[in-house]
Amino acid sequence: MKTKFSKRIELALADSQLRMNFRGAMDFLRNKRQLAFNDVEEWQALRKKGAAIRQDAIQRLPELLTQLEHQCQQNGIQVHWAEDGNEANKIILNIAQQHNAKQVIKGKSMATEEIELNDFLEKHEIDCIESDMGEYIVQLDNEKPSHIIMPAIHKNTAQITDLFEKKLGISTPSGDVDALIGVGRRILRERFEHADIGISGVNFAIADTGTLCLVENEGNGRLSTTAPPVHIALMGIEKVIPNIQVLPTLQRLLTRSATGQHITSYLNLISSPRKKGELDGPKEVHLVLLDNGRANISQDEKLQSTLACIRCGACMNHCPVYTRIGGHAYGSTYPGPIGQVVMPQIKGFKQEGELLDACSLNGACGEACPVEIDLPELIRTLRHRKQESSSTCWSKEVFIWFVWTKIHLHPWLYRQATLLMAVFRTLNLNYPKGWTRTRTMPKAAKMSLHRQVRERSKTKKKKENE
Amino acid sequence: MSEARKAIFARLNQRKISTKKHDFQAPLATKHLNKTEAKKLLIEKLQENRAEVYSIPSTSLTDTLTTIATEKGYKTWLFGKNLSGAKTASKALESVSNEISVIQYDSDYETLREVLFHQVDVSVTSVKAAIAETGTLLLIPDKNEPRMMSLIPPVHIAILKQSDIVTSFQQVADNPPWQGKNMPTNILFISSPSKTADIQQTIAYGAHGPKELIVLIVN
Repeated sequence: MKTKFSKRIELALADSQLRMNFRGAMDFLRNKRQLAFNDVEEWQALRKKGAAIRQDAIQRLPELLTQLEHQCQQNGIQVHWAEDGNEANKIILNIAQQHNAKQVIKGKSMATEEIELNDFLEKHEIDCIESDMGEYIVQLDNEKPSHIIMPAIHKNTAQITDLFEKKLGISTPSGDVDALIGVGRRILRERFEHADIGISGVNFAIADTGTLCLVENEGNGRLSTTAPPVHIALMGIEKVIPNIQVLPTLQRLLTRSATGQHITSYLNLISSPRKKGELDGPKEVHLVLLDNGRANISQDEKLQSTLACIRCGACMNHCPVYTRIGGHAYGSTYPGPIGQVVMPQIKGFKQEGELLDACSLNGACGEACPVEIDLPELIRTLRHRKQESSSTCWSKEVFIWFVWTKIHLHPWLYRQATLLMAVFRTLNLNYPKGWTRTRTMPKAAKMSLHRQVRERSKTKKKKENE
Repeated sequence: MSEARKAIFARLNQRKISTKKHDFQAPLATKHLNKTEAKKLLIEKLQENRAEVYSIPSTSLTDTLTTIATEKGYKTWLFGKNLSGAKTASKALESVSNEISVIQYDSDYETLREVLFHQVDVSVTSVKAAIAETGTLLLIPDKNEPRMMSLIPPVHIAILKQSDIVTSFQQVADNPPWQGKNMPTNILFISSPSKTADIQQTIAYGAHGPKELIVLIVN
C-alpha cells in the first residue's frame, strides 16, 4: 500500500521544473554560506560557542522564562502562555476582537505557520495578510512555505509573474524581479498603513532585559511591529536567551548559515510599547509564549537538543533528500532534517512518523548545523523509538536487519547464505521496487569473495608444490 | 496565573537537569581595529551592501545635504530633533529651491501617517554608533527621532560621527550605549537599504523600507 508521503515524493521527483528550482536555490544558498564561513577555525569556535549558549539556555528554561516574563511585564509588554496551537490562536483572536480588528498584517513567522493562525483568523472573519515577499507570494497561491527562510523558493520568476497576472491582474515585464517586488511593495504598504494589528515571530528573546529580537532584510518585520497600534509577537518557549552579550554570536551564526550574510539589513530589538511622549510604535505589545510540545521535548535528555535550533535552514539546504523533493513533499510546517526531528515529536509518530524514513543517514545536516545539533543521531533515536512504539511486532525493516545480524554473527550461516545467493543468482528478485523500477538489480557473483580467495590460494599452493 | 503557564512550568520542572555546565560566556578571539582601519572597513562593508557613503568635515554638512537635494531632486525632507545643525540645514535646503520643503517629525504618527507614507522623499537621522566589521549603523529611536524615520521614507540619510565607529557587534553588546536594564523602546541595527532575494534568489532593493541608504561620516 502506498502512503501519502511516498506519493508526494513521487510527484515531486517527477516535476522537473520544481527540481530545477530547488537545485538552483540550494546550490546558491550553500555556496553563499560556504563563502561566509571561509575561515574554518573561526567557524568552529563560533559554532562551539553558539552550541554552548543554546544548550545552557535549554537547561535553564524555567529560570530564563520566568525572568523574561517578569522583565517584559516590567517594560509594559503583556505576556500570555499557550499550551498548544489552539490556545495560542484563541489568545490572539481574543486580543484582535478586543480591538475590533479586521485587518492583520504579519511579518514572517514559522511559529504562526505551526499553529495555522491565518486559517484560524480567517474563519473568524479577520483578514490576515503575509508581508514577507516570499510569504506573500505563497499566500497568494494558497500554498504553504516550502522553505523556512525562503518560503517561495519552489517558484521561479516566470511562475511568479504568471501568478501576479492571474491573481492580481497586474502584468509585469517577463523576468523583471524589481517590477514584481515593486508590485508587492505597493500593495503591502497600503496594508501597513491601515492594519489594525501587526503580528510577528521572534528570533531570540533576551531574558534579562525583556527584549524581542527580529532578524530580517525586507523591513516588513519592522513595519509589522511599528505601524499598527497593536503588536502581537508569537514565540516558541525555546527561543529565550540569557542576555544581549550572547546575541552577536547567535546573530552571526544565524544569518551566515541561513543566507550567507554577515548580518541582515535589519536587526530590530523591541523592549516595550510606545512610551509616554514617544511619537510612534504600537501602544500595546503582547508576547504569546507557545509550548506546543516543547516542554515535553525538553524532558527527554536524548532529544532535548532539538530545542537548540535557531531555524536557519542550513540543514535543509544541505540535505540531499530535501534538495531533490523540495519542502512541500514533507507536508509539514517544518520540512527537511529539522522538520523530520521536530514534527514527529510535536504531532506523534502516527501522524508524522513516516517523515523519518526520508533520510539516508549521510550526516550532512549535522555537519551544517551552526549550533552543533546532532541531527543524524536524533533521527536515528526517533526511528528507534518509532519502531519500539509501533504496534505491529515485526516490520519488514526489523525482520531484514534481524536476519542480517544473525548471518553476520555466525560464520557458518554467512557461508551458507553467500552460497545460496550464488546458486540463486539468476532468479530475478525485484525486491526493492523503488530501486529496480528504473535500475537493474545487481546480480550476485558466481562465487563469493571468500571462496574466490580460497580457490586462488589453493592454486597458488599447487603451483608452488609443482 | 494562567493554567497554561502552570502546566508548562510543571513539565519543565519535572526534567532531570544535567549538571553539566556549558561555557557560553567564553570570549571569542577578536581583532581590534584602530580608528583609521575601522573607518575604512565600515565604508567598504556599507558600500558592499549598496549604501552610498560620504566622508565629510562637520563644517560642510549643510552643503552636502543641499548638494544631494539638487543632484537627486529630493523635494520633501523629514527631520527629527536630535541632529545638531538640523535647523541650519533645513533653512539652507528650503532656500535651494521653492520646490523643497522640510517637515519636522513633531506630532504623533497617527497625525503624520499620510504625510509619511505619501509625501516624504527623504529623511535625515543621527546614528548612535557604527560597527565596522559588518558595516552596521546603530540607531536608537526616541521621541526626538521616532522609529518610522528610518523606515517609511524611500531614502534614509544617516549621519554618523567618525568617533562613534567601533569594531564589532560584540563590543556594542558588552558596553551598550544604554543604561543597564533600562532598555530603549526600540534599538535598530541597519546594514543596508531594505532588500529581498525571495524571488529566485535575485536581490531587489526597496522591498518594504528605504530603497536607498546614504551615510554621511562626519569628522
